[in-house]
Amino acid sequence: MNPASKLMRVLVVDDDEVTAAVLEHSLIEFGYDVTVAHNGREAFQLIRSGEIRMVVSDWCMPEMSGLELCRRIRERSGGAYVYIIMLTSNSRTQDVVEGLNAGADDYITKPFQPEELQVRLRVGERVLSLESRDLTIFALAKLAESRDPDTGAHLERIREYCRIMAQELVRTGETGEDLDGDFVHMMYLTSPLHDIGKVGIPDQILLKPGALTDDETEIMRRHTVIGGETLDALVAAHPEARFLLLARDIAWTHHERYDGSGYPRGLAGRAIPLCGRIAALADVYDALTSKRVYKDAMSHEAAREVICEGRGSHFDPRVVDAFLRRDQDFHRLQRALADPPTPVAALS
Amino acid sequence: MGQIMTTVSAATSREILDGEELLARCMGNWDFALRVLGKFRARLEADVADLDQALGVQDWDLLARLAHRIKGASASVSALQLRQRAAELEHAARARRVAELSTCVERLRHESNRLVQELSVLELDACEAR
Ligand SMILES: [Fe+2]
Repeated sequence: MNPASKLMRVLVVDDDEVTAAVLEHSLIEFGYDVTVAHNGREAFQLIRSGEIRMVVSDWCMPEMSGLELCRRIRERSGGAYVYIIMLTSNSRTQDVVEGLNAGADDYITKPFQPEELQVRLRVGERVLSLESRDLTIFALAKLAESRDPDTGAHLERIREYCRIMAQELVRTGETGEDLDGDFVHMMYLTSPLHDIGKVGIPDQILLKPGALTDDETEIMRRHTVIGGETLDALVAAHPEARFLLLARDIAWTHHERYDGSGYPRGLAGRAIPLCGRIAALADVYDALTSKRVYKDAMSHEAAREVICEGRGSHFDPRVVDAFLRRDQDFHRLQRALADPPTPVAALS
Repeated sequence: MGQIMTTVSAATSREILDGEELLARCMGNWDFALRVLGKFRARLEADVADLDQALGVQDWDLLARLAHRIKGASASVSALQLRQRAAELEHAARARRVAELSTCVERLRHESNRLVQELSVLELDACEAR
């Protein structure tokens, strides 16, 4: 667990204090931040505070039943989705249907078994992270695109390049880092956000056709810090969304260089997160092989040459090796996703 | 801890209190399990007293609610017999089978007394084991 990320807050609702205490204890052991309410009304007030992401609620309570609580939560407009697990002592189909109709996501029969509870909570976390992941990436990527002068298929290419290198590194396992298939998918999802910080760069610099002055370059470089800090704030608000950590690291470090000569922090070697080392190569390869107002597109072979020269200085040698092993895939994608000569295609 | 577990199993019939299941639900933390049992016992004694009152004023809804809470708490500490007695009472109260209610309360009280007695033994054992 990343020390900077908050624990997910789960609300336990049960009028029976014994059950509430046992539930609370288990949930803390599972690594959640737990709040306890002893009736539905109290629970609803806490949920309105907006800090609660998951609820484990008793069914049958005085004042406001679990069912009623469910309905009230779902009736709210706005606010993040709250995942609701109902605890029921009667597992009759009729009750389960009624609960699900009221908006419960899942139910557990009392008395609960810790293993079962943990599995159900993990499912809930997964649902929540998918929900916020899809929403957040969609919104952010749109924002990034609207301000990025490198329009066209730039973001599409970057995510494909990142995926290829991540796949290769996971396959060979030579980075010595604990990577899995999820890393590949997360790289694919989050790499388009690398330049999100450009939303904070003034137009006259971002869109300037000619070369930038030293001062302007300094400001332009701040897109890494702006992006990193923006995503860091999102990490704090959505601790369950693991992809945001990756997106943050990519935004912050995709202009760092392996030998420490990059920006914004001059990190070197493994101090640069792997995702940043991968994105750095993808970004450079794409810049080299794309046509700009002020330059022609470089051929794949010439770009490969440049990247080989940067092996161990600009780029992580292992990432370069992964690139070289898959360079035909890069070449194929680069041609397939090349920006069209006219913007007509963008209208379809 | 294993020693205390043996004591629990030996001293207590599994139908009265399933110590193993309780311990599992407390994530193997015996200190915590004892604290929960203490809380449970205090709550139980108060709720059983309230049952009599509810019976006296013929408040069947309150009777059902109290029985429901005892049922839930008993399930959480794996007091299986008591859970059964509470379920019977809750059911009878909800169905307004008024004639059965005092018998149900009596049976529940009997089971509750038996359990509280077991808990006292258990607490004593736990103290000595320290
Ligand atoms: Fe950038």
